[in-house]
Amino acid sequence: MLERFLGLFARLTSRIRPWHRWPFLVAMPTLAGIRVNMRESNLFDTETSPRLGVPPAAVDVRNQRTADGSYNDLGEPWMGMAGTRFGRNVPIPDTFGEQAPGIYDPNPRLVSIRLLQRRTFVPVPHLNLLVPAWLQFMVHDWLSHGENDASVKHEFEVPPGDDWPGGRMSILKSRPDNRRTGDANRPDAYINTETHWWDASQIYGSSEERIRLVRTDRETGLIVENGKLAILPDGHLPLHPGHKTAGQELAGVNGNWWLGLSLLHTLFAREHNSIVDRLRIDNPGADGEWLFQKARLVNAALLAKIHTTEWTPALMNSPEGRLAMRGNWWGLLGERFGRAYGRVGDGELLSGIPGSPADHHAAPYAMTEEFTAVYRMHSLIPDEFSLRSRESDDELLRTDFFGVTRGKVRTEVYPKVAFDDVLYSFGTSHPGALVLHNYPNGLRKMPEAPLKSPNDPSQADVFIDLASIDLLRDRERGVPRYCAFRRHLGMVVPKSFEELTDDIEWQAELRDVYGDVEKVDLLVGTLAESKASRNGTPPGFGFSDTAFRIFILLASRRLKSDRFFTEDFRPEVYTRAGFDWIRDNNFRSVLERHCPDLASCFGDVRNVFFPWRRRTPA
Amino acid sequence: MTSRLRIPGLVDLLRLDDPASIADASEDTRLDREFTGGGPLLNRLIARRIRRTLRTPTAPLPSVSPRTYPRRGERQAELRTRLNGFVSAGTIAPDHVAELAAYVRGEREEDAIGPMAQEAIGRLFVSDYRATPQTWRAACVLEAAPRSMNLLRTLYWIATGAVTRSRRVLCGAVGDDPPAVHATAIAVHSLVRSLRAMRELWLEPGARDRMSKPTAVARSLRAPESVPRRWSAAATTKRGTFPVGALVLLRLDAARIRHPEPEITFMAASWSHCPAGDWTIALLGAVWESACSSESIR
Repeated sequence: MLERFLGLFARLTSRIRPWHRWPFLVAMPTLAGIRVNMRESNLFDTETSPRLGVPPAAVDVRNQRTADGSYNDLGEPWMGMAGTRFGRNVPIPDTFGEQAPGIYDPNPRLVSIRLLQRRTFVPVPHLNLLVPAWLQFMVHDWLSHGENDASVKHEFEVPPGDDWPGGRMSILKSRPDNRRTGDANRPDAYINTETHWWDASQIYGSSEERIRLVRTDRETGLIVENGKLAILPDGHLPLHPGHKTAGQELAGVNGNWWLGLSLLHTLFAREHNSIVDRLRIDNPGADGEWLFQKARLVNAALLAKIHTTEWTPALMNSPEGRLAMRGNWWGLLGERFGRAYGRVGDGELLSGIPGSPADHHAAPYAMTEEFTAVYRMHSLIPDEFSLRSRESDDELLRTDFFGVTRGKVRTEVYPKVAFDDVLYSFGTSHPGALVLHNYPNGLRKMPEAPLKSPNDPSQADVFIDLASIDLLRDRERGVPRYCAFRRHLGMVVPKSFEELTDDIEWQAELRDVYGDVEKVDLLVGTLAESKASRNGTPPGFGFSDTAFRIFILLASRRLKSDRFFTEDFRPEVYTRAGFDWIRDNNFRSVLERHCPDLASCFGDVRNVFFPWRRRTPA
Repeated sequence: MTSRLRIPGLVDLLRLDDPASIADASEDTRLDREFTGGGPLLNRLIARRIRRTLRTPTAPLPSVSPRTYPRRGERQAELRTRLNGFVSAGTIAPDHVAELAAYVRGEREEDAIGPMAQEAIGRLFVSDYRATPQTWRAACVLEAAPRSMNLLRTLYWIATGAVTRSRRVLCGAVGDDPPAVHATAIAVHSLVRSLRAMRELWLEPGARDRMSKPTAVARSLRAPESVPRRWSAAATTKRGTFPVGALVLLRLDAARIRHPEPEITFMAASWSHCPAGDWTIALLGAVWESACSSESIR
């Protein structure tokens, strides 16, 4: 009954103005109601013939996460496992991929040049560079579309005057899942090669094979028998044996590697090992496998808690945003009440989602294509990196984005800049703002060879424009364009460029490129929305209201669908010590534990994703 | 989502819009289209309305004929064969495709589509069927009458005899043939909604250049909003326990957005499947193709 009331309330208030233009006491129930409505109307399943799995041998599926994510939902074991399809947030008939010629209209490279290309770096002064690092760290936990189809390409001319090599752009197409029984009349669907669950699979991997690899001691060739992850004596991650890129660090997911990912993977690999040490105190007789699995559970939950109560509120820095996200974890009664008295009832409103009953709402749990689309936030990444000393703030290394990617992290950066100095530099630098004309130029002309064939000189002149790819991927996967997307979410739809954005220059540019506001790409629209006073980005938010609607739905769903964050979020499963570890820790304590030298830099910030204190030169 | 409205003695109505529940319900032999007998008060009133409205002088329309109605299955199969013959021969509403395409392109007024679609369907049964504003109005009344909860409108209809008159007009135009009456009075509305959706797609800037004909058809196709069933025997199911006379609405169009397959849109795997499924898809395809080819000629 309460949910129906909230849903109706949200529909009524949203007709008048968006939630963020209401006072707090109206905005909060509106947000709750928006979520109710979206849980009912914006979750769609694409699985037509899910595979029935066999329980993995000798795995206690009740009390530990499986490698591939199966058996999280004991009634539908396939749900959320690696190799299952992305779901959708818009009706299935509206998700057919765009086709030629319209898929290239407007030319993606034209959009990249005219609307996305960074002119001057626009920073976000109230956030630090750990924000985009964390974001990608999380995305790698949740999703990957795997390898593209090497046999089929998008091919189109680049605009006149563009200096793109060869004058044509060639982009591999996404590989759809094979058609199955029940797929007649349905659009293509795509496979998530990682587990959909919030299970830290970016650290551990989504297969038994990968988990074994990250647990294997390079010296002995054996699994680290005490349940820890294999870390080098200097605290760094081991290198990935046999990787085509020299110096590539090993992790559960290590594609698109860069310095920001290295920082976080290293920190949380160390954190896993610290958790093992703590669990062993209470369980001295436990074997390595048990310790590993319990530590994994705890580490994953800690990541989820940090993302929910720290990262997201940093980007939703308004009273409503902070309460919404902290409420997801602790409920309206808050952290202090929860610590003192525990949960009140089963509901999520008062005491938060963790520990409440699981509920998949309108569709089986899965990451969605629309979620993938709204998380395209490459504009957060700067083009230049200044890596400085944590003691003096003196610059030790200045490099571009290529200089901090892939194997160069270990071959070029860490030899010159210590880990703690890199972390300090990230904590005291700013990400880019999600606005037009702020897409990192380094990603708009990236050499492809280091990605695909580092040892093939014939590939040296092959480049990719990630901005064009971002646009094309959404189009080919049938993610609706901006106006249609908002329509599907029940949001006000701009009828003109003037309604899309207040910036007069942007209006003219958008009109020139698109011609009609209905053709604006989702990514472009969400960036243009940043300067829209009526129906644009909420005050204090680092991302658009359009993206936020998907976030409030999926952020809650990642918890609410997961048995280990709901019915089995209890000490009996996590162990008492593990459960307390989650309760008592946050990103600040993780940093303090592994990088105590930096504590004075972030000690007085309210949120460690806000800029840290820079050392003043002596 | 499943929802049930139940006030003992007054109403017992289950609404299903998830595909799995709809499939289960279709298979349950206790759920039928027999709208006679007992039940809660409102249920009996609704059943009576269905029974009295959706019929010819001598027979119920196919969409409300019980499973065991004489020759129901045979007639359904015959009609399907005949309509599929048109599809195989490539003669899908040849006299109407161009006009329907013009509507889709935005070259005809919005209110033209109803009579156009009705006439295209009517010609399947009567070679010189003519749709008029009167026949279209009659179809709108007959479609709304069984389910209208608007008391004032219902009283108006009773007072003016609108439902009876509408039924007479529609039956008279097709010689009292029940499938023809159903097609021109009830099924036509799904086709009209489909064509309206196709027009919206056409008029959306850039959209038609991004989609193939099958995609345009799939995105336009609309299922009946809801089809009624009645429990003819008491039943205990995973959705609850139902007495005789409880009503079920299968909300097909709400289910279609999750499962756009023929099994939902046309209930293709069910005993009550629509025999015009293939014909409808072919018609929509022909209309889109005509719209595209006419545009390229200009």
